[in-house]
Amino acid sequence: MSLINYASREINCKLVYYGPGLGGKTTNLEYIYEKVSPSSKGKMISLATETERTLFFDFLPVDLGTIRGFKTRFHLYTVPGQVYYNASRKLILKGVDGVVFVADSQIERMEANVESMQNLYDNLLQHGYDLTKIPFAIQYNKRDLPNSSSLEELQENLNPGWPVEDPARQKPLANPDRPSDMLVEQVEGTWIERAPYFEAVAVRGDGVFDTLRSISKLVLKTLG
Amino acid sequence: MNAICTSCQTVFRVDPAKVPVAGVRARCSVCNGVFWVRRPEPVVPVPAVRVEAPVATAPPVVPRAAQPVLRTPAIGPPVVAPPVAERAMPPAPAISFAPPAAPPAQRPAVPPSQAPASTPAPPPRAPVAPAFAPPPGLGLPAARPTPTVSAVAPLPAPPARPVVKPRMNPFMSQDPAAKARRLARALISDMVVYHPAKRREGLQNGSLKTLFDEEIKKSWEEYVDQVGREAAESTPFFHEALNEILADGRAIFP
Repeated sequence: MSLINYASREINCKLVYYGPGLGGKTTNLEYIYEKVSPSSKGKMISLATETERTLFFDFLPVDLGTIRGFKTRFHLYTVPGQVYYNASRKLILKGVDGVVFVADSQIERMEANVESMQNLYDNLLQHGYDLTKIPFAIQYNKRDLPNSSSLEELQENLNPGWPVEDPARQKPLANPDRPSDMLVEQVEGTWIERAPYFEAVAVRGDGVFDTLRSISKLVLKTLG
Repeated sequence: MNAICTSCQTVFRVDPAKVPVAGVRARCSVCNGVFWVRRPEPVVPVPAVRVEAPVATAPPVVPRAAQPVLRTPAIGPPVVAPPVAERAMPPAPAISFAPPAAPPAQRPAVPPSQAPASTPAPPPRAPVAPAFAPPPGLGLPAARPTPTVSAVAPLPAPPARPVVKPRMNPFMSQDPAAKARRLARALISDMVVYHPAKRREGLQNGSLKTLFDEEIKKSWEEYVDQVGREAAESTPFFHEALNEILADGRAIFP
């Protein structure tokens, strides 16, 4: 539900970082907060438990430049990852313009990843959104850990793709940010589309801005 | 005709002659969900929205192109639009059944073990045993508010497998049992990653049950909320996950 304010010449968009608990959503926002210049960011708000775990959400407003005189301000939110905070997650997704799914690459968190992805599909559907039709990117975080699942396994479980119905879009499409990664391709005679994905080590900042750049581009494209 | 369970999307072949004019509620033999089955119109004008929906229960998505727009520099100059534009949420999904004439062609490739989507549907009176039978005497008016589940007669187990539409993306349709099992395991997995020290202590002292009492209660409530009390209590998934994941394979939780 991006807000375009013509009086103050501002576009406000809402990005939500989703994913299983302890996957690195807050770490993404903290890194962005640390690196963005003070003039381009607002105050980061974190509603956390006493053990620093996200209780409700983190919020960070970031200005990503100007488009034809309109200041583009992105409101970055995280959700609590723990499965039983579903009511909060559902609430935070309301009016979302783009979603980043931060997956935890560790093998033992695969089921939590899949559960969280299913929960994302379901919660969006309840708000009337279809994840396959809104700006969406996946970040495979913690790629530096020795117990990481392979990229193929993560893609197979979390980014299986969806059929491309529009004949005009049934042609190979590479990720503009990484040409080796096909976003639209033909698999066994069926055209399928997948979300763009990024490998990351959020504590070091690796892949954090690649992900943000990709999702913000996708959101801005929907405005045009 | 086809009837689709609104909970798990399983498709059943139904003899339209057995469906009362006012429709009937039926219980899905796969997930136990209750849903309405309505008799098709004699001549079926297929509503466009139903044919276009890639998944029977998918609601319409906000058409971005039709909303107030602002062009990016690469695309063109700004478009004149109302002073403040706010996107409205689309209406809640209302589709319950695929129309009898809806083509299954939008489905992806078919696993060899399942009936292909492109196979012509058998005639209505083909000797395919229906996976469920509409309970007798429940021809309720369509405008009636959500009825209680207790009014629905329990249905016998199906003699034949239901016709399951193949789906490419498993997140768009899930087997309820697999979903419940995964939810249970994810809830318990959360306990392990959020409280590693407490778990170690519990495993060493044999106090796991006491130490995690609150987390287990909260998780169980969420589990029941999502899968339903009946499914939660009649399946072993939650306790299996507790023993396997939290108790490290020990049978601590009966």
